[in-house]
Formats: sequence, structure tokens, C-alpha cells
Amino acid sequence: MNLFQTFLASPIAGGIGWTLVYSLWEGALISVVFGAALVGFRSPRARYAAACGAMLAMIACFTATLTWTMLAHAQALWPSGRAAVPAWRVLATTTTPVQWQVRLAMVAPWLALFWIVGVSLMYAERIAGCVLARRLQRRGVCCASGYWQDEVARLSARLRISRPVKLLESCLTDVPMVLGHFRPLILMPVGLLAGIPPVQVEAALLHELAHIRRCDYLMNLLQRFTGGLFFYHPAVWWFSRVMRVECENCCDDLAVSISGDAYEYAAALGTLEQNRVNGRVPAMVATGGNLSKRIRRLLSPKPNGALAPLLVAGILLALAPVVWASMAKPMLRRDAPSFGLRDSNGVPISLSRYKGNIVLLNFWATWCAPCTTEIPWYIEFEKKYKAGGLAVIGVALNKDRKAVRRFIAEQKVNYPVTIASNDVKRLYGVNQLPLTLLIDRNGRVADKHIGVVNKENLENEIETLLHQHAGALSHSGQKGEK
Amino acid sequence: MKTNPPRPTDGELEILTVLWSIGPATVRQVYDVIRRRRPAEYSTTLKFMQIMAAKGLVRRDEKQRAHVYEPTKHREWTQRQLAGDLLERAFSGSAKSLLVGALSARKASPKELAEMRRLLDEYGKETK
Repeated sequence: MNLFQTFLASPIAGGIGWTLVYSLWEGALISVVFGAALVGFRSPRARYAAACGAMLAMIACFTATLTWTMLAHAQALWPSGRAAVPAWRVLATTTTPVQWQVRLAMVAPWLALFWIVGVSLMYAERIAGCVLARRLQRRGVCCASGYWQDEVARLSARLRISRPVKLLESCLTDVPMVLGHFRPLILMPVGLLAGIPPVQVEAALLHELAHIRRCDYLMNLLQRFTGGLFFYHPAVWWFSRVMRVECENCCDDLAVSISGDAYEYAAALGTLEQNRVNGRVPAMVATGGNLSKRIRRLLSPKPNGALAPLLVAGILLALAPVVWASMAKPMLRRDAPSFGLRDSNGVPISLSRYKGNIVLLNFWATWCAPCTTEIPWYIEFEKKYKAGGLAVIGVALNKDRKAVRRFIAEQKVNYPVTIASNDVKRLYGVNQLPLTLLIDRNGRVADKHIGVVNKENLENEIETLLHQHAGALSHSGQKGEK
Repeated sequence: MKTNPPRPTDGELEILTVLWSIGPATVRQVYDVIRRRRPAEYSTTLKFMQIMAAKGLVRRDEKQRAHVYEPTKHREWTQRQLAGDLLERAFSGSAKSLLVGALSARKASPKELAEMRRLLDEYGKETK
């Protein structure tokens, strides 16, 4: 039980949870680009490559985000022991209320748990599949006749396959299959070699050899195991499906380019499928499949793909401003809610009085250890930047004024500290401590940090804000509201 | 023989596969095919096939001097017997999705088959 709670509170859980959430929109973005590529590319090889690229991009994004969020979580020390919104994320969207983020932060560790359980199940299923697949090459098989073994050797020479390929007949498969990468095997359903016209057997063999030539067995394995990581992600389902379909199309093209007769080849595919349906083994799934599409593609003349790169470039160009705009959006600022509070000595303090100053508003409490580590930094900032126009205001969440007064005296706090009211807590969405806001000269929230701030970064931000011209700020702020 | 033969063991399955592949055959012929894949003993193969005949998995034709064996059941029946294994049933789809082949792991629907035939027929007519 303890271990379970430790896990939920750990940066790993929080990091994974947030990464999962981000991977959703990362996937959406990659899908858009991928969709554009599919519109542009007609040749199966290009489409397959695009799907591979999309898959790799997903992995890269996932890894990068995971590293980033875990670091962000590891840096932030939470008073309540719960994982929370990483500071950098809140930094990026000061315009939206952080309520949903806070809620998501509570859910994140549970998402991580869900993901870990899901991935374990997916991998267990795939490993069991691997074990069974290995059994397929030893169980219920026999060597095909010497004639067909020679035929395979001849065809693989034409396809320039350097690895020796073994041809086995199996009583456990319904369709021809390739197994193994380094020592590839072709499994033919038993009786098929003698049961269909030799031209069609040759077509089937060519297709399987094309798989071997393209290292599809290995690629498929990698794809299945990567897919397992993203089992929750519709975009990855889509990439996988495209990969699978285009892989078959690639092999069809390769096989036809060797045999030279598309019709004979298409007829062979038809016969293979027919044979399978005639078999009395109950179908696992009766729907789906894309064979008629493949046959249509094989029999129809090849379209010209010269326009493709232009089209893709056009779509990407059209997309660029949208992406740019969405990146630029977090720069907008929102008015800081005004408040009037009393300090620990009962002297009233209101935010409106500080208009024209940069305000560092720090929510804290004496019982919050991470908060108290920040206090000396704020004392230092107050000293250093007061002349430049910085005003530090502390808002303590303590009920007990005496404790706050004692703390101020002990630490020699040189800036006003007020006691928070419930209204202020609600207005600023204070769910976790410490919470630190930077308010610009126009009274707008420029930055919001949840968790212990990075002192250097904060100082840089303060300096930037102090140097910014008040007029320029109001201009950019108004533009953003429209 | 009215009662169904028992589920074949892996060794028996191999012999059955050979018989399905090359048709009714003598022990010598079966032995020759098996030996191409792995080292084997003629006497072991003979023993196995005698046991299988006793179990009812193969039928022995004793009309010729060298006895000719043939399977009593077809491949699909045997496949169904083997699919009784729970592990196999649960993960055979998973195993097949790890392999690559000319056809998808799913079967085509009758509608799709008809569509496929139509395409092939049309094309065949056009070119002839």
C-alpha cells in the first residue's frame, strides 16, 4: 500500500501522466502532417515511409516530453506530497484559468497507472504471440518438395536476397506467411503447393520473398511493440494500419515487377483468399480486409505522382501560420484580480495601489517547508529591485496571525505580508503552495509558477519585466484580447 | 471406426502434415521427407505410424507389399482439435499478427470475395 502511494506521488507517475495527455495533441499534430503527406504521396513506398516517420516522430515526442515532465516534477517539491502541474506548463498558459490543469494534475498519476497496466497487458499478449509464432515453425510442419525449394532459391536470387530462405509446409496456417528475420522461413498451408496452379504458387512465393527482401518481419515486430506503448492513441492505430496496408502494396508491386504479370498475380491472391474461405476452420473475424482494394490497385494503371511534393509543401505552408499563432497565444496576459487585504499588523493593502509597479505576489504558509525556502530569495529581490519598481507582496495562508508575525520577525522579511481571505484564494485558484505570480505594470498576470520557483529564471523574468516599456505591454495585451 | 481418434501429439502431427503434403505414402516416403528437416530414425517413424494406425489417426492400406498410409481425418478437423488448447485459442490471432503474409490476418467477407472475383473477371474479359 505504501509503495503504491509512493509511486503515485513520485515524479515518474506525474511525468508519465502528463506525457500521456500531451501525447494526445502531439499525435493530433503529427496526424495532420501525416494526413497531408498521404494526400500528396501516391506511391506505396512513400506512404509507408511517411507512416514510419510518423511513428518515429511519436516516439521522439513521447521520449522528449517524458524527460521534460519528469525533470519538471522532480524539481518541484510539493508540500502535500501530491504531484501537481509542472511549473513550465503553467508558465506557458497564463491566460487560461489553471483549474483544469490542477484537476488534471490530480488525475495524472492515475493515468500513469492505467498506462503501465495497459502496456504490460499489451506486451504480455505480444510476447505470448511470439512464443506461439515460434512454435509455428516447429509444430506441424514438413519440408516442401525439392522442386519448390529450388524455385524459392531461384526467385530469391532474382530478388537479390542474400539470406537462405527455407520453405516449409504447415498444417496450422491458412495463408502463406513469413517467419523470422535472420533465418527466414516461408510457411505454406499444407497441400497448397500441389493444389493450385504453379503460376499462382510462384506469385504467392514472390510476395512472401518480397516481405523477406524488405525485412518486413522485423519491421512488423518493431511496429507491434511500439504500437503497444501507444495502445490508447487513435493516431498510432491509424499509422499502424497505414503501415500494414502499404507494406502489402509495396510487396505486391515488387512481386509484379519480377513476375511481370499483374493479372496472374491478382488472380493468385484471389485464389489464396478463396481457399481460405472454403476451409472449414471457423473465422476469427469475418469482416475487414482490403484485398479487393489491392486487386483493384494492381489491375488499374499507375497514377502520376508528380504533383505530390508540391501539394505537401502547399499544405505545410498553409499550416505554418496556424501553428505559429498557437505558439504565440500564451503570450497574452490577463488582468490580475484585485484584492484588499490586511497585513499581519492589520494595515490594509490593496493591489490597485501598486499599479505601475511590477508585483511579485507570493502565496505561502509558515507550515509549508518549500515555501519558506523561497522567502530569503524574495527578501533579496525586494532589496535589489525595489528602486527599479518591484514590489513583493506575501500572502500567507495561515489562520494564525501570530505565527506569521513571528516568522516575519525571525526571517527579517522586508516586504508586506498579508493574511489570505477565502475570496483571494478562490480568485487566484490557490490549490497548491507555493504559488508565485508576476504582475506587470498594467496589472496583468505575466507569469504564474506553481511549486518552488527556479530562482535564476524568476530573476531573469523580473529583469525583463522591469525593462519592458509599460506602453508596449498594454498594446500587446489589447491585441491579444480581440 | 465410429469414435473419433484422439488429439494428435506433436510428433504425430508432423507425420500427418507429411501425409497431407505428399498424399498417401509408405513409411519410407514419410521418413525421407522428415529427414530433410531434422535428423530422424526410420524405426521411430515406423513405430509412430503403427501407433497412429492403432489410434485411428491414419488408415493402413495393406494391398501392396509396402503398406500405404493415409490420414483418416482432413486437415481442418485436426486444426479444430488442436485449437482446443486455451492458450492457443487466446493468442493465435496475436501470433499471426506478428507474422507477415500475403493476406491479412482476417478473412475476407463473402461480399468482398464477390467483388474481387468481379474485378478479376472484368479485367480478364477486357484483355482477352
